[in-house]
Amino acid sequence: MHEPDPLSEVANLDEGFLSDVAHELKTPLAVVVGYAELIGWRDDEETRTEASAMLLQAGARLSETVDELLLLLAVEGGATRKPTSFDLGTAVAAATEGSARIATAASEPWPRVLADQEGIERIAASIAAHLLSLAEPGRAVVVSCAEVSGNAELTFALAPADGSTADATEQGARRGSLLRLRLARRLVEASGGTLRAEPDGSGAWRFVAALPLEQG
Amino acid sequence: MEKARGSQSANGDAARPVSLLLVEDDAMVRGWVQLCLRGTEFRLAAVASSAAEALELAQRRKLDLYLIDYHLPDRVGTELVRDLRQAGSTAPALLMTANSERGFNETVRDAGAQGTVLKTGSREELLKAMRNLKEGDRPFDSRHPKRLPGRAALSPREREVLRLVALGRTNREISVALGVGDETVKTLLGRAFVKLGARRRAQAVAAAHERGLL
Repeated sequence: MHEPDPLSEVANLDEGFLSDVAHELKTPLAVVVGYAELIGWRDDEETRTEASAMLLQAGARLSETVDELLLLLAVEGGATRKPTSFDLGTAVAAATEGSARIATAASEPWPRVLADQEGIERIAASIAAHLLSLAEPGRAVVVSCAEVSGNAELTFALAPADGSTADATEQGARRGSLLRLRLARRLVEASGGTLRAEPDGSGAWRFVAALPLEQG
Repeated sequence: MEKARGSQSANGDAARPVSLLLVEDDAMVRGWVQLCLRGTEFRLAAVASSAAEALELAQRRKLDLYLIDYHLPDRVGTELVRDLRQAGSTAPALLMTANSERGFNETVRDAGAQGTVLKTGSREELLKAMRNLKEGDRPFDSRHPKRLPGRAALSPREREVLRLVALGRTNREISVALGVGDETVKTLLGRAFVKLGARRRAQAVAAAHERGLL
């Protein structure tokens, strides 16, 4: 059985969205409090070393989440960034670099689009992370691109992992969240495109970002 | 799988370890829980980062207690508890969440779990809840506000109707599938809408998922 379309949840459930944002903020906060308390309670080298690493990680995640919230507010408030011309392959490669469980399907040459490149990279990273957080072991995210009706359609789907990705784990990887999905949707729309989720036929969802091709 | 066992000595140290399955997708929280349990009567028998992984581990391990995060990547913690109970596991389950949420305790209880604890970062709160659970108490965190009147959990029949709605079935198809009349389907759906505060089918399905009722 399919879960409800994740994008319809993003659009309709403000209560759920706010709860998700609160969860995104409170979890690293609890980690900060928890490790600070543990250092006071058990002040040995091992605890200090682990706590130090986790506190830095929790701080980085808090900062990133606040940045995403501010960006979402700006985009929903109508702020736009100047579009530039770039090929989608470069943006996808930049967004997924370093991830052993994200692969790009061969579709050279990738089309050029006129859009907010930083935003598109963020979209690609967010959607891939969201799918990855749902992926069972042995599954990877595959990003492919096709030209459809004047648009470049970037598709993010789960697929069986090949030899290079089968056993990979991603320590400290970005986690999926409704905040990132909502931000991804708004950034696609700000670039004149659309983002949709559709069943992939195996009980999961795939995401398709349609972006206007560069004219001429 | 067994009911919780083990006893605790006066200083809180282990007399016999309590075997625990931690289900948590966040590596930072997993690390914190592991450190909290060090030197206690609890032994981390296994760690899962998704509900699917937890179900698989629960089949293979002899466990005394589950510590489950509510927001898992593949489903919410209450759905996992339902699946564990259906699979025959009777070990008590403690649900963790970062937010205090209205009706959370009732939802968790309806799913077949025995307690809740807020993820505040307090080792003492976590261990106290786990120890209470181990002793057979029902430690539901009182910081979760009670469910509003009229927002009771779905009845099994209402849940079944919503499950079919989620599959895209029409009222007619649902009435055939359940062997009831069209009017009964409408009544069951109407009741579910009221309980979920929903006005449309998709909204009701989404709300039920969000609250772990399906």
